[in-house]
Amino acid sequence: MEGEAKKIISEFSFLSSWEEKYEHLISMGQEMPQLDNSLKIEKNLLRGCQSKVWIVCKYNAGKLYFYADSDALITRGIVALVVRLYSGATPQEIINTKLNVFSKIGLQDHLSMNRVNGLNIMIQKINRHAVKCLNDE
Amino acid sequence: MNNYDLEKTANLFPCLSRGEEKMIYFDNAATTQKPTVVIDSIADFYTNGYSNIHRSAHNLGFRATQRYENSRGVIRQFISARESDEIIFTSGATESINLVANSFGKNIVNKNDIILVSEIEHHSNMLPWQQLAKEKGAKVKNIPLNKDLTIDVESMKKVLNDSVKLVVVHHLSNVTGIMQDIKEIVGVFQELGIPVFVDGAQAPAHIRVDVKDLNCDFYCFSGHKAFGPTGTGVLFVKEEFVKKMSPYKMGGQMVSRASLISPEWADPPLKFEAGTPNISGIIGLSAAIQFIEDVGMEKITIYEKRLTEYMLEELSQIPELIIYGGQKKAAPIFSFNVDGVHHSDISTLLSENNILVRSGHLCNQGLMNYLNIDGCVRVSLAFYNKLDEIDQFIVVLKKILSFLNK
Ligand SMILES: Cc1ncc(COP(=O)(O)O)c(C=O)c1O
Repeated sequence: MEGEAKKIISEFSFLSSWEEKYEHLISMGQEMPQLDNSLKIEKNLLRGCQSKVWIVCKYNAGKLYFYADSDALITRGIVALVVRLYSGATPQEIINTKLNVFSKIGLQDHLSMNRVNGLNIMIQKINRHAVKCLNDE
Repeated sequence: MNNYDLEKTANLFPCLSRGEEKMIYFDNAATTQKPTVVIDSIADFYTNGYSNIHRSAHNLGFRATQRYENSRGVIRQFISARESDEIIFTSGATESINLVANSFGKNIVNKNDIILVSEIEHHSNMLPWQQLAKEKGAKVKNIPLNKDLTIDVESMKKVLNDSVKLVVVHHLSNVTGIMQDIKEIVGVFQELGIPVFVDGAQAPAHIRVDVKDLNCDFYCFSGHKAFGPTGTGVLFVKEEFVKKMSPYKMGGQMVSRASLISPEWADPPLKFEAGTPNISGIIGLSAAIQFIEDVGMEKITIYEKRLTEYMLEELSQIPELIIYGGQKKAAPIFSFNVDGVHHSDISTLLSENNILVRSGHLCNQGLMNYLNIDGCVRVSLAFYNKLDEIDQFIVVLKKILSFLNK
């Protein structure tokens, strides 16, 4: 996770204008595989975001994997970034690590409160899932 | 006095003219900025004349009471109410609506009765009525609409019957800036003795509100949407109805004789203002209203008409852009979507360019459902906005759309 975070921060550090930053964020979203329509259901929908965000969590061989999607381009990019950060980590890693990638890539200011909340809601959901996996073991 | 140059009023609002970063504030339907006179009036009250009101027998208290009660007079005059007693101070439009639902609605709505509400109300003007209906076993029924989102008065007459006990409409839409013909609507119900409640939250920043002329029985708005402080609101209640209302908030200063067995309520409006009110806020609100009158409501309306026409013309040049509610706006409030683009992407990138707008369902899920959309971008102007800000906004919007369509 830390390694992926460093990589993302470094990718953004070369970009200065909003166009470049968002272009990168959006293309990250476009590269992420789309969530199958059968998974875009109420149960996987996050409440509290301005655009729709779906997230599915899978636990396999001690690691957590996340699959997500959104109906808005920028949100999809943010979702992809979160998936990149957390997918493939162990529950313990997720619980122990506090990331502040968004403030370091110079986007947080401009992500409207609603979306920041959405981001927090998504990270909360990931954390809750990690805790649940540990408890179930 | 009365000599403000509307192209330059932004300078009177410190938050708009803050140094370094230029910002275009197009989120006025959410809340308006405050002019220095309002900020100063609040500071002056705390600095030079602060006291509680309506209770202490000392000079400071008398003077504070006088300022508070003078504010009531200023508001009365602003909306042309007959009596100051018809003006109840609240914390905002939301509290005004809840007050009427509880203090009046509960007394007149009974099982199987009907409350007619337009289906395109702000949540604040929908949920309290739904709650009231639920508690009383009554029903909330939709008022039919025309294509342009105005109330279809002719069809409305057809859904009328004896069970209708209250009618609830907005004056100016928070999504489209379109105005309802309150006078005509009131005309229909008045003969039948059915009271009409008007949510005027968006109106006083843009148009002259004259409750005598509208002839409605209830009218409310929020101070913060009319250049006044947050936490201030107004509820106008026609005198004959004030008497039919019972207080829903109990506390200090609302009784003339406190006895646990049979308390005697103070006369209205104090009966509805239990507890220490937002004194400084109300003083600030009256400064805001005086400021509007100094600038000139009629001048504001004319100037905003120019802003509206110009914005509509510019927006119409962007293909794939759908504006909701048509061209006949009473205020420069524009909600739109662009085909194939998500509204939240547009507002995020506008904000990235220091143009502040709002997107989402705009607390009006009813209207979103009616339009069959899940949200939109809302651009809402006030009289301190300028034509060249519209130019800049359009340039940036076009840039954003070509960026998102790449
Ligand atoms: C039409 C309308 N009604 C009611 C409200 C609620 O106002 P407040 O939140 O100030 O109480 C608003 C605010 O957005 C509004 O636009």
